[in-house]
Amino acid sequence: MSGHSEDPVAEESKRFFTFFNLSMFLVAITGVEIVIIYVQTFESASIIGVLFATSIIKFFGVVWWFMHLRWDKILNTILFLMGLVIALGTYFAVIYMADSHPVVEKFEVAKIEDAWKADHSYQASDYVLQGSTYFQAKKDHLSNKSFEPKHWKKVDGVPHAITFRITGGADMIEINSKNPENPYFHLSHPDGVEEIEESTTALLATTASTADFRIKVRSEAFWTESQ
Amino acid sequence: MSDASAHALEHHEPVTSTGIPNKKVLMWAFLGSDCMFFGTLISTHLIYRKISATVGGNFLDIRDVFDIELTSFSTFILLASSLFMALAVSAIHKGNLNSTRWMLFGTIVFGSIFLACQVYEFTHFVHAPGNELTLSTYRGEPHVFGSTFYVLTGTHGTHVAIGVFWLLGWLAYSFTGKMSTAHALDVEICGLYWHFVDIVWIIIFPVIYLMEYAM
Amino acid sequence: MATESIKYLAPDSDNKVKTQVFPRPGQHTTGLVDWLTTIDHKKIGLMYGLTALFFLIIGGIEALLIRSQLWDHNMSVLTNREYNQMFTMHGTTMVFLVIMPLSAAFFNFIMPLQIGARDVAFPRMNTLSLWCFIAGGLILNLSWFFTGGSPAIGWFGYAPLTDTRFAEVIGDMGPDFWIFSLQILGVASLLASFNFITTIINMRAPGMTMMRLPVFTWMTLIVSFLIILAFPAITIALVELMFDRTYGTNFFDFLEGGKPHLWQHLFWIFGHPEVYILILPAMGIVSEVIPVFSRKPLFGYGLIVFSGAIIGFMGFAVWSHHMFTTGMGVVATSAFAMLTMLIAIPTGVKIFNWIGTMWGGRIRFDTPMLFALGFITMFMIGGFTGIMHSSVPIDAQHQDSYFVVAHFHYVLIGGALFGLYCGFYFWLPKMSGRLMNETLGKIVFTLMFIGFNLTFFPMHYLGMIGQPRRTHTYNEGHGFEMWNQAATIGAFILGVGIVIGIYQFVNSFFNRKLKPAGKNPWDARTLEWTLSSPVKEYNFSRTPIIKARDQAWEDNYGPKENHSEKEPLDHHGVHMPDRSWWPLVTALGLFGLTIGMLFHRTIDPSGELVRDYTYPILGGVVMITGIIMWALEGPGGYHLFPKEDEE
Repeated sequence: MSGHSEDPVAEESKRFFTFFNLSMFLVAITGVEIVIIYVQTFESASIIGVLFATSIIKFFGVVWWFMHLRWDKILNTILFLMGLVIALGTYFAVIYMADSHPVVEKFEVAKIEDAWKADHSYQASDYVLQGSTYFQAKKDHLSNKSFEPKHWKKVDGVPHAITFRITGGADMIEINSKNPENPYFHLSHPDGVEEIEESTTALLATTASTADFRIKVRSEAFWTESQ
Repeated sequence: MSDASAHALEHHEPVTSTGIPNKKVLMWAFLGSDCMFFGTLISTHLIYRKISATVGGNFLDIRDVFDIELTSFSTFILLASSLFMALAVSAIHKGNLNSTRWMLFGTIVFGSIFLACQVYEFTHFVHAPGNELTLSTYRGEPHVFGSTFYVLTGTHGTHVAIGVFWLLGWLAYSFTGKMSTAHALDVEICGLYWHFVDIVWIIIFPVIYLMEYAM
Repeated sequence: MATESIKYLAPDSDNKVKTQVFPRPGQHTTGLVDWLTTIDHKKIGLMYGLTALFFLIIGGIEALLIRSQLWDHNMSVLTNREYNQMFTMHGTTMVFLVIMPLSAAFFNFIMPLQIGARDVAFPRMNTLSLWCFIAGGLILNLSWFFTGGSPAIGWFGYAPLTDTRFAEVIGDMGPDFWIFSLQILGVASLLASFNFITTIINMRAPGMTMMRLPVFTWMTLIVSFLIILAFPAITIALVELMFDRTYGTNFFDFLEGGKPHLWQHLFWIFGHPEVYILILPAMGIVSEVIPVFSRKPLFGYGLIVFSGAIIGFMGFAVWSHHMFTTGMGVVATSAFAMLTMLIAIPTGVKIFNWIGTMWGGRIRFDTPMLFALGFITMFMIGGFTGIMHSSVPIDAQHQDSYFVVAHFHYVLIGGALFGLYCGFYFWLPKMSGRLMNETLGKIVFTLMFIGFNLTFFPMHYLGMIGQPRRTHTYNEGHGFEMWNQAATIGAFILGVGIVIGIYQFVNSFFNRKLKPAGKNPWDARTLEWTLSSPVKEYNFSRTPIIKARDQAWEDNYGPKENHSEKEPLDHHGVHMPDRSWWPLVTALGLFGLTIGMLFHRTIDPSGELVRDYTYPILGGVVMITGIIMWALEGPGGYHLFPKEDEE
């Protein structure tokens, strides 16, 4: 029948207490689960961990004792485990692959055309256009009435401001120039924050615009490109 | 290992290659398959919680909708019904028909209370003033939470309802005078189904309800 | 444990509920009632086979319409929508209504014979599977007659095209028919698989250990596990889609929070194991035929079984290779690419073992062997192109081109269909009692082999030069015409071969001029060949006691200690399960429920949607009544008394 031995009556009577005790145990654990979410003082990660653990304990309790697997032949357990293992594996993979889609809200590459101004407070590494040449400030200073070369270093190339805004969370941002005459490469690994807004300056060989660049943004399970 | 000829109780069951009755192998294979069934539904819900918490600006904090007291109550009810089921199976194995009837009755009552709580919960959510959660909307604007939540818990509820019907069948049969220990296997199979429905709820309750409070 | 004898003992007769409405058919029932109420696995197998061959013709006509449309550029044999409907119906029909039921036909007929059983574990549930299959095929093809016609969504029904929002025809019901028919077909497959698993695990003859099982039976077991674990995924996906279409949920509606991408995941979690479900039975058949026609035992039996199990298990881990071009991200894409490459290994092991079986054997090139050899070679080609797609950058070229069409037709026709035809030519003599005409069989093989290769080999090239799939026509100037014409000609040749084959199969049951087959016309190896042809109602007059693998061979050629014995003759007689009306009634109820759900919506005069559940409820009541009466009826049974030496 179910693999029971000679005296089912005595066996079943013994099991009554097992069932009752298990029941009380399950009730107690469920009580703990409910209390733990009311008491908000615990960290969310540990609450989830505890809920996960209690679920597994209750699951195992019902399957092993109430569903008799403990006292039955092992084949029953194997049949059930096949389904359970494949379900867990498959759906763990699917949930992992479900991920937010990063979106490139803004991406701009613009030439810096700030002309040098008198009486202006400059910071080190600011770029200015003086005449037709670009200079970079050597250190923080307040500019005088006329342009003083001692504060400025002549640079070769055209500075550009690169700004971008990414929403949806990304773990890798790569920007490169599509024009081989005008090389540029930037790679950063943000912290997985929901929104990233950054601007950086880059010295390029010639003038370029947004159309000459490509930004590629990647999250764990998606990637997207702009231009 | 039972010897087919020795047990008068077992003369209905053919002897099998493994010693496990055919119906039991069938039920365990079915329950393995049902794991994939509920796995799909649960993971659909979790995926949409992860990537569609807000839909078109419609932010859903389900804590405004959920009634954890009610759901906790129904969880305890279902656990209790599981105890009754185990005791019913135990009773029929012992040949105690009266006890079997009462235990079956208890399972049915508690199972029905669970279903009633679910029905109440659903109507309560759909009509919650200011926080209406329907199959396709939340607060009147499109959202996906209702879709996954109602279909998942509704499928579970349907499984419970089928179980209640099955148990009612057994309760009715127990009054015909034809029920005996020869049917212990069949009641046990029904019990396996009922316990499985319980363990699915053991997963659903923390993962769908309680986790929202932990975020 | 495995040496217990199997005896059905007579159940209590006063537990049976006797009804006047549907009196239970007795053991002498014949004619239509016999076929409608039978629970005999052999008859059920025959009905599966016949119905599937009918759908093979339907699906074939759909294919020939597609090929005619593609004969030349800009043809108007089919409009673009009709073309989409054709490839949808062709794919759905061939996968669910032909290959799977043909495999089920062989599982049903042959497997119990191979393990020494009298029937399957749950004979009435077996009947229910059959009628659900027929109901599902009917519902799918009813779609032709209603709003929108047949579904035009592809056999894979990708969201969001299946959303009502994108229906080409207002109120298009095609996808709804598709959804419901697949659900019923799923029920049929699931019930059958639970039955086969229980039968193989629990009803083997004494001495028939798992490692003495014929490979075909092993494949039955593995395929059944694949079915019970894969179908739930598509069941839920279809439920979610049905809710989206009927009740406005947002599972796959991207504007309202859903993600169409999820459909792809759920579909292919089912879909990939499904293709192993399609091919493993044919591999099982070929594993039986090659040893017989090489007069050598199967090389590496254990490895073949183990490889089959590994393929089955790993089949659950590779589904996203159908989604390489959907932007899943580096981690997921590379993981699935690697796993896909790995799954080629056990497949290759099987092929080497079949070759090893033939090596040094005395090969006879009868029709079954021709088809088996055709299987190996054609499946290999399909396998090679499959490995090509496992590389992601290469797949980016192949995706949605005719190269993929070539790949899967090589594995599904060159593999599965050739394997199944091999099974027909091998086993039909056992089923009908008559040998089919060998010359005609060779002609069928030749036509099919030439036609098939002419049709699908050029498609590799067409795919590489850019012909896209699922596109109803092509313009001039691409250079597609010549090889499309070759493919169309090939398709018609293949069609002729298939039809002659079908004629041969059906004819062998009625043509008295064919030679009788006798017990073992092929001098084959497994247990079914110890029985008379056609097999008697009770299969084995006395349950055999198994002493070795390939028991029939050992009985004829092996040493005395390997010869099988027989259980002593039971003076109670052989217990046979009773026929029953209730599986048919249950299936009819389910059919009614489904039709009711398909048509429960109407628009009332004021423009409001009205839902009327009367017919679904009626169908449901009939179904539940069927189940309750079934339960109360009990297995029943009667006794037969075969003579001692009558097998």
